[in-house]
Amino acid sequence: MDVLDNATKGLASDILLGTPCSIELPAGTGKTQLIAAVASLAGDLGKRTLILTHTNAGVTVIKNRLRRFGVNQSTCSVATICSWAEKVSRAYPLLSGISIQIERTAPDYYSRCVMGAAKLCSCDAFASVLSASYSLILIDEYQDCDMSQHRLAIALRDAIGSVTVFGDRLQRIFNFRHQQFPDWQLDVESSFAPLGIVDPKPHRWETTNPDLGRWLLEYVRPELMAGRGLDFETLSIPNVRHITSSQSQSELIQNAYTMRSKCESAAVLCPNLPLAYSENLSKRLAGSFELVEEVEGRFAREQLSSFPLQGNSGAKAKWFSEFTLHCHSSLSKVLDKPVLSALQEGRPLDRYVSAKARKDHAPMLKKLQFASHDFNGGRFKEACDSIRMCCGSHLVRREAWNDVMFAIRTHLATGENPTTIFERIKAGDRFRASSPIAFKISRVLLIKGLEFDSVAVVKASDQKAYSKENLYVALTRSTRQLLLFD
Amino acid sequence: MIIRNLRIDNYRGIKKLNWSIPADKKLICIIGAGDSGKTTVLDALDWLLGDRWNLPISFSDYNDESKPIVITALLTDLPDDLMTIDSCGLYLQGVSEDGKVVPEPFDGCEHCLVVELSINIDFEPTWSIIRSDGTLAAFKSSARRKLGVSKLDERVDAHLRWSRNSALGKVSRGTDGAEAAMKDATQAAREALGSISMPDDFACVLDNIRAGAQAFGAASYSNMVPGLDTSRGDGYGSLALYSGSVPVHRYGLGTRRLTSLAIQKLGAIDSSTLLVDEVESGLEPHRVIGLIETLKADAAISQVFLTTHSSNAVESCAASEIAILSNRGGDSSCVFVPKELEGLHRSSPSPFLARSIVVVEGQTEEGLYRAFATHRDDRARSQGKPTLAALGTCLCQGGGGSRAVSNAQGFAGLGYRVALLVDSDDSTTNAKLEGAEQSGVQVFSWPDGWSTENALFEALDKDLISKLLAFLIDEEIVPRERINDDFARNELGAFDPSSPEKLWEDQAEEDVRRILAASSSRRTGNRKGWFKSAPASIALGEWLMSSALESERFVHSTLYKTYFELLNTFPAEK
Repeated sequence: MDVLDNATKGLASDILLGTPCSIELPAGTGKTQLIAAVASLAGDLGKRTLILTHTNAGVTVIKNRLRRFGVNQSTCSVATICSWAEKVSRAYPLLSGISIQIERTAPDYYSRCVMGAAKLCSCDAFASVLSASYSLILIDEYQDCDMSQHRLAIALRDAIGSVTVFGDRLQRIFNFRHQQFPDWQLDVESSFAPLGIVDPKPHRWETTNPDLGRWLLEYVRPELMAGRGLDFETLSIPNVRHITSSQSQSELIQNAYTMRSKCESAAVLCPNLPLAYSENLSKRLAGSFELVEEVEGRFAREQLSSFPLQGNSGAKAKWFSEFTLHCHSSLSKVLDKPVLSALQEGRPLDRYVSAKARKDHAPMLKKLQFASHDFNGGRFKEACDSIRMCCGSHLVRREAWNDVMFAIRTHLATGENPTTIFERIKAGDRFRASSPIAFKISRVLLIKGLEFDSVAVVKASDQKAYSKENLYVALTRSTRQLLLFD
Repeated sequence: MIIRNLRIDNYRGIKKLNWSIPADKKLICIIGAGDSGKTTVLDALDWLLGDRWNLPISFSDYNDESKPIVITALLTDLPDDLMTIDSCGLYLQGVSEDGKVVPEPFDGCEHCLVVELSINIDFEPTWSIIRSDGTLAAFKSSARRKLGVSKLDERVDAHLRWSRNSALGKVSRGTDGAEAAMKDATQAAREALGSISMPDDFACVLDNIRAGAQAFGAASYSNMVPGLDTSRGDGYGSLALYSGSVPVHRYGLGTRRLTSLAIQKLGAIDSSTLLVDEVESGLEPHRVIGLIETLKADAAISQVFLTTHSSNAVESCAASEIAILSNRGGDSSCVFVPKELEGLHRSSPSPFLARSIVVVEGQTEEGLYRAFATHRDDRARSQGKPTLAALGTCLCQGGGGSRAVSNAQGFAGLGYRVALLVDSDDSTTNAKLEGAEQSGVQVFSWPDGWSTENALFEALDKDLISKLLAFLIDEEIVPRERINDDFARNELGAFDPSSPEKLWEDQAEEDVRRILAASSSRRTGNRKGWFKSAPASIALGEWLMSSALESERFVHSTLYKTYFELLNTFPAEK
């Protein structure tokens, strides 16, 4: 079990006395540590704490940290804002003004839940539920709270008083263009007064790469805050390199494979847009780096919704082959258009199998052909197995693949709608820890709050590829090695 | 916690009960005729809200064995521990001021929790919280424990021992050193027993047991000795609460119950809800009253439900604290005594504990009723039939026509069977009678605007009237001067016991009877009518039963017939 240092302890007790308040801390300066310290101290004083954050990954990180400090799980609960808001607002649809019929798949589902929860928190009866449940609420990554979440935070503050928010305005990166965010200085700090002067230390790099930590805190952060570009040319920090990559990106691929073999965890970070950028790169890094799926599982959902429920076996086999293609590397020459249309029409594949590119994949094609005649549970399973055994191809989108395969398998066995099955798994997922894959390729947006030994940032100097916030988040993810590609 | 509504379906003698309890009721004294289900109501609350998970369910707990037992309650003022999001905080409903349940705890409503115990025909109990959309959530034993409901019942001695489930065990648990002290005590007892030297004869008996058992092929025992029985007092051996060297379970029933009550109350985390069956059991009247007063004043108690058969207990409650449970073939209702009847339960508590009530207008009617009732009961006894008392019929004197009608109506509203006997000589009383009849009161009154005295003198022939007047004078029930004064005022000659026939000489017979009735019934100055005192009315009644029963005129009179009907209004229930 870890023991807290006195400086953190002191700050934690200042926070308990100063709440409601806001704390702004740069990346890697011990925000999670501080939150755990506050919760731990509150627990010692017999207080029950609720910690809210944004992603399941964030929940896992905080829970692990709490466990390390021996914080009693019964006095401290951790949840994402959305899942917490969903839980309470769905329990009281009338007070929240939420329609009972609304489905998780509705585009504004979670923002409605959050707005409903804010409304609910201002009701007398629920205010007493809140004060019976929690004596302290801590909200992490507050910079990512949009306007409705900010309103919920204010409602919580009005109900129980002691709400403290933690965040960093320079780490605000967001998914949707139309999302409205509170201004840190004008909105956040006026509702949650900033707590005195906090002197941040780059704890994340203390033992691994102190020079990198200082550079990020003392050079990168002030420059980006001021809206200036960064100079990567004159770097002289150990394990930080700026590499100019060719069009084919072979240097990037090569370095990524080296990272894979030398580090315990690594990430290749890409710009958020276009989506295809990270997807294409992921196929080239197939088998070594796994693509991080969107939290809401949009890709898998879209795929499932196009499943030809009413179609014949041929149509289903064609859909299945296309999905296989999406999730695996090096199959584009195997499952090409002629093969797909042959499957759809239930024609034999014999004449295609002889082609050189398909030689190694004959067993898989045979199983797919069986499935195109009768798309039942048994044949589907055989086809899946043959895809798994297929050499030279790698599963790139493991999460989406597993979820969709489970949904289809269950559908074939029970006749239940595959989308319904999928939504049920996802509902369970929200409360499950994120996958422990250590090597990821991802858009910056999806790895907020995570740490890696080594990080490669693609298109690092491209001002159009990254906003200052995206770039700051990307640069602060690695603890030892940072590779900047252009 | 406050229980605001209780619904029972198919539990023991109660087929159906739906009982709303206003928010301001703290002490609730449940009364009702025997077998109306008072104990059933307390047991229902105990089963539903107590923390037990293994209930002693048997076939006899089902009213109809083919249907499940369902007990539902609506709870407000929940303890904070239950209000949390992880406990019941997401299952709240609202209850509006008039006691109506609304699906969510809107502002201006009180928040409440609806909980249910349902016991299927396979004896399997399920505790649930009912949400507004009809879905159920588990209502766990740990949550029920936090409600702090304890029942004082026949298991009182169990709570005076240290065991896992006894109140004493629960109170001691978690206190510093209690556990260790108990272990030490058990250990010391075990060692003390071990060091006792056995007399030879006793050792011989024990050895014979060992040898005999082994001969049957039992385990190979070592030396057999008496030791502590640890099977009963799970955890601590058999430790019980002592006062000095006397075990508390050797004290009288009343003291044991009071001690047990105190321990159970201490066991509650927040405030407690107490269920006390037969509060008077083992207690002298003054201790009953003392206990009820203490319960009312105790701020750590949120609600007390008690049942009683004692008029003492009824008297020490306010009318509004008394709930009357009635049960008609399983269809039960429980009604609080309205404020208008405040005081009545103190002046005459017994009717509240009866099954049927005869309300009579005043003292004269009461005296006559008692005499007729004694006569009826004597005859019933000789025929082996139940007496009025055994039928649960009780007399209530109204203290005046108008009040008698309101009382009768009040009793009827509470579910009692009520008969009412009033004069018909008062127009305000007559006006109220219709309302009383509509509430189910059986009304008896004299014809033609008679007073009871009219009926009396109509029932007696000339001879008996003379005898009655002589009796009143001889026994000094009514002074001779008073009679003569009253006669003179009504233009009737003085009464001479030695020549009674003179009374009838001057005027027509009906006029004489009318004058007699008027003279005896009217108040003159500050003197009440002749029979409007307890001794006078009782003496009159007794005289009638000893002198008039032989008379044809009397047994065919309206007076006789009316009382006869009144006394037989309520037949025995099957």
